[in-house]
Amino acid sequence: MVTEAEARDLLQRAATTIDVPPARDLPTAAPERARWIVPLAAAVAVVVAIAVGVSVSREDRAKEPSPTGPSPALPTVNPGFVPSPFGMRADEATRMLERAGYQVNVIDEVAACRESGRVIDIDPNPTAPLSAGSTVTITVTREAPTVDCVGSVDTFAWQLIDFAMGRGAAPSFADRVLIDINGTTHMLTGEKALELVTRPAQAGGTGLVHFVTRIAGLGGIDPDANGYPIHQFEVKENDGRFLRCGNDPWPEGLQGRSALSVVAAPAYVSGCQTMDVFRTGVDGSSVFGTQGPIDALVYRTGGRLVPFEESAGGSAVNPPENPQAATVAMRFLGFMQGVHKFPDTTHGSIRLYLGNKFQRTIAGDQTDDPAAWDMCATYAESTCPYSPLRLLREGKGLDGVGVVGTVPGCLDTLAEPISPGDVGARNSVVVRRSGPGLTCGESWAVQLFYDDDYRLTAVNVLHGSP
Amino acid sequence: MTVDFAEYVAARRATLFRTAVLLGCPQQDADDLVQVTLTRCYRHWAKVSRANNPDAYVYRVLVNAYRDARARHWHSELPTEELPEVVIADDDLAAALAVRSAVEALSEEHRAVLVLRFYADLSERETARVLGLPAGTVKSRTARALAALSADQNIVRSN
Repeated sequence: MVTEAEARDLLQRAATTIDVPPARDLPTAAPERARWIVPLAAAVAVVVAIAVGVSVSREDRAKEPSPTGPSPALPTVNPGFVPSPFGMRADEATRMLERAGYQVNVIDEVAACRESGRVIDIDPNPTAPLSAGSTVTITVTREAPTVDCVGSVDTFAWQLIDFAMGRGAAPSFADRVLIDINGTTHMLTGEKALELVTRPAQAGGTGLVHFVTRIAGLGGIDPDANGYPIHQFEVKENDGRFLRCGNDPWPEGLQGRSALSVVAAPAYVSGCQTMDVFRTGVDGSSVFGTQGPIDALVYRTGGRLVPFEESAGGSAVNPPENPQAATVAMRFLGFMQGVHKFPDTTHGSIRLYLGNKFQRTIAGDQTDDPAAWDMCATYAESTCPYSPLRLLREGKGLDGVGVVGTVPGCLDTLAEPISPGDVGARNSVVVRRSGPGLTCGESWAVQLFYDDDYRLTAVNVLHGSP
Repeated sequence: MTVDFAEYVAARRATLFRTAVLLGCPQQDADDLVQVTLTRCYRHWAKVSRANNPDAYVYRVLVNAYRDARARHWHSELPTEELPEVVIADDDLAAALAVRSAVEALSEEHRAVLVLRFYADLSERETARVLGLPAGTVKSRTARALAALSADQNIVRSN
């Protein structure tokens, strides 16, 4: 028999499957008989319904703009809440934020082969409450001038994102399109494929529009994830070997073909999401060099991920240096969990440490072999082997596991802390298990050193003594 | 002490939305339903906010608005095509969806008491007021609803 306490728990879990659309304007007084007009008018105005896909009643569905043409711009968020200028040009974003009453601070992020002038990060997160007059910092892409790229490599990704956010035209689809969702493959006509990517989100929904709006932080505050949806993304060229979310096989016929891979960097959300977009005419060559229509889409959701340690007030304490650093940790965590291959983001070999003491170097071609990570030493009053992979695979799952910026106290060491410079790194990020309710003996940390390009150079495993 | 309307909405909107969906409101209509509820409450907010528990009043408005709207609007089926269904890889998500299906499969009467008592977190007496039922009826329905939920083989109960 389900008890009342269990019923509460079950209903909370059921509720987590329901995506809540962004808040509308607060109601204002209206005559009683006009009660349906206020929300319906709001629904028409709130074209985010196309993006989020849940807030327009059926009467208005017929009036939705065609998904094949440009849609009206996104709505602004309620006064007092940070709107999302994700993907906008810097000047548009500045205007939007200033209209909302905020001071705007612009940071440039220089990177190779990216379209310049796009807002890729917003701090505080979109939909966060923030009083007027406060400063919102936006990070804007700036292309590295010294790198020779064939075109601006992520232009097509931005085209997709603009479309998904109602700011641009639909991408073109081939006559037949392969769509693979977590390992289940479907062949659809181009028309049906377009319908799928614009279809309103189902529970845990996929679809380009749903996917992008989640990345853009327009899903609203998610109390169940104890934070805000992430509004970071990465665009990679992927031939199927790149790390991906979950462990479903790559669809037949797509192996070796390059795709544009959009990866939601899931720092605050549980469950990663990736979308790989394939275009015709690019077999064996760069996806970025083609203008062909889309003939395959691969979605991956899953791969359990954990939030940063949260303070009582809800803001992250001791966070990683930045979202890229968090991504390094999340990827390695996926590897520890056995849901990902070893993240192929190294110089070729990894220096392996136990309790700050160097053990050996793992060659680049051995990193996928769990045995290569085993270490044996007298340490932490436990028995060997020690291994970052055994921590989760033989442990108690993700209880208490989080990503933080520095190694927690109370863990045993065999040597002085490792200086990043000594291992060719810029900094480190830590996957750790610790916190209230856990004894030191139940705690551990995996310190991941990364260089300027966020490639792993060294891994340090620390255990606590019982 | 009165609660500011904007603060109340910021704190409760997501729960109201999810309650609406759990009660059986189609997800695409739930935002309208919540907006209608909030609009009605806003007009009487001075009074509502002085109540011991504004939630009880707001949920009553939500339930009434849901009943009104359902009678009026939700007879037609959503258009469907032979598009692929979403496949969920995440075990937790799959478990949560199983619970949601189990709740959807309950009778409307059972679903209402479960959702209001254990998701909206109303007391027995408040639930009775919201549903316009005697408290004893809420008690007996709750027991039967819990039994019905227990009988669902697909849900994974936490230990």
